[in-house]
Amino acid sequence: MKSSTTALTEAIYYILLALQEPLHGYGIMQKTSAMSRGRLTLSAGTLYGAISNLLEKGWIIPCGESSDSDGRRKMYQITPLGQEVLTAEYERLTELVENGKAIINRE
Amino acid sequence: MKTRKIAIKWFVDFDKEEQWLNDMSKAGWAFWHTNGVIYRFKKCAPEEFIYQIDFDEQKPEKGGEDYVVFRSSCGDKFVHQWKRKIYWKREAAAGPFEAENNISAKLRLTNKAFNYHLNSFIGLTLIAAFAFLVLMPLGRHLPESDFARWLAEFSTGLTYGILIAELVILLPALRKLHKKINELIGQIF
Repeated sequence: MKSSTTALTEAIYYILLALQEPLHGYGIMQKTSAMSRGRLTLSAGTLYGAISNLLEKGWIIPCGESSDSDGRRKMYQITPLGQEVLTAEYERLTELVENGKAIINRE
Repeated sequence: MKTRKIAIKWFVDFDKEEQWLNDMSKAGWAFWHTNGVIYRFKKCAPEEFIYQIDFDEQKPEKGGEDYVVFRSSCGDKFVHQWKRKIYWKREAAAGPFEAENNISAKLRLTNKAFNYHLNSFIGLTLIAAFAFLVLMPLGRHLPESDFARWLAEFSTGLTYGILIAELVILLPALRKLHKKINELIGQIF
C-alpha cells in the first residue's frame, strides 16, 4: 500500500533514518542532531507530534521500553511500510540532486 | 527578604502570558503555579529559567506515550498544568525551546492555542444555549415565586454575559490566532 506520494519534511525524513534501530524520544533527538551536524534540533514538543503522526500512519511502531537511570522510556522502530516510504523519498531526493547537478554544473 | 510573590493577571493571548512569565524570570521570579488568575512565584536568580506555554495532546491510539511523560523524559521540566494548558521551563543556559526559525513548531503551537480557544467558545455557547432555551423559559413558566424570578434573571444574565464575553474576548482572540496561522502557512509555502 502506498501511503504517501508527497515529499517528507526534513524532520520526518531524519526521524525515519534514525529509527533504523530502536530508539526512545530523547535518543531520536540526539541522533537526528548528530546526523545533521547540529543543524536540525528537534524540540520534544515537535517530536511528540511527529511520532504520533508516524504511529497513526503505521510507519513506526513501539518496540518495548528502555530502562535506564532516567526512568522507563518507550522505544520506537521503523516498519516495513515506513522503510518503503523512506526509500521512495531517498529516490526522489536523489533525482532532485541529479537533475540539479545536470543543470547547475553545466558549463 | 521576600522569597515568594503572588500576582493577579488574566490572559487570553498565550504569547503575552509566556512573555510575561519570562519577564518575571528575568526579574528573578520563577513561576510555579496558577489557577488562571492568581500566579505564584518563587525567588530565583535573574534570567535563571525560560518558560514555554503549551497545550496537552491526546495520546496516540497506536501505542504512544503520555505527552507530559514524553516531554519530561526528553529534558523539559514540567512546571504546572491548568486545564489543558501546560507550563514548561528549562534553564536559560540550555537555550530556547524551539529554534527561532522553526515555523512548523510555531504553527503547531498556534494551532493548539486556536483549538483551545475554539473549545472554550463551543463550551460557552452550549452553556448560553442551555440557559436561553431551557432555564429562561423554565423561570418564566414556573408558578410565581422568588426562585422563578431569580432563575429567569440569572439565565438572562448568563446568556448575555457569555455572548458579550465571546464577542469582546474570544472572537477577537480566535481571529488573531487564525490570522497568525495563515501567516505562518504563508511562510512555509
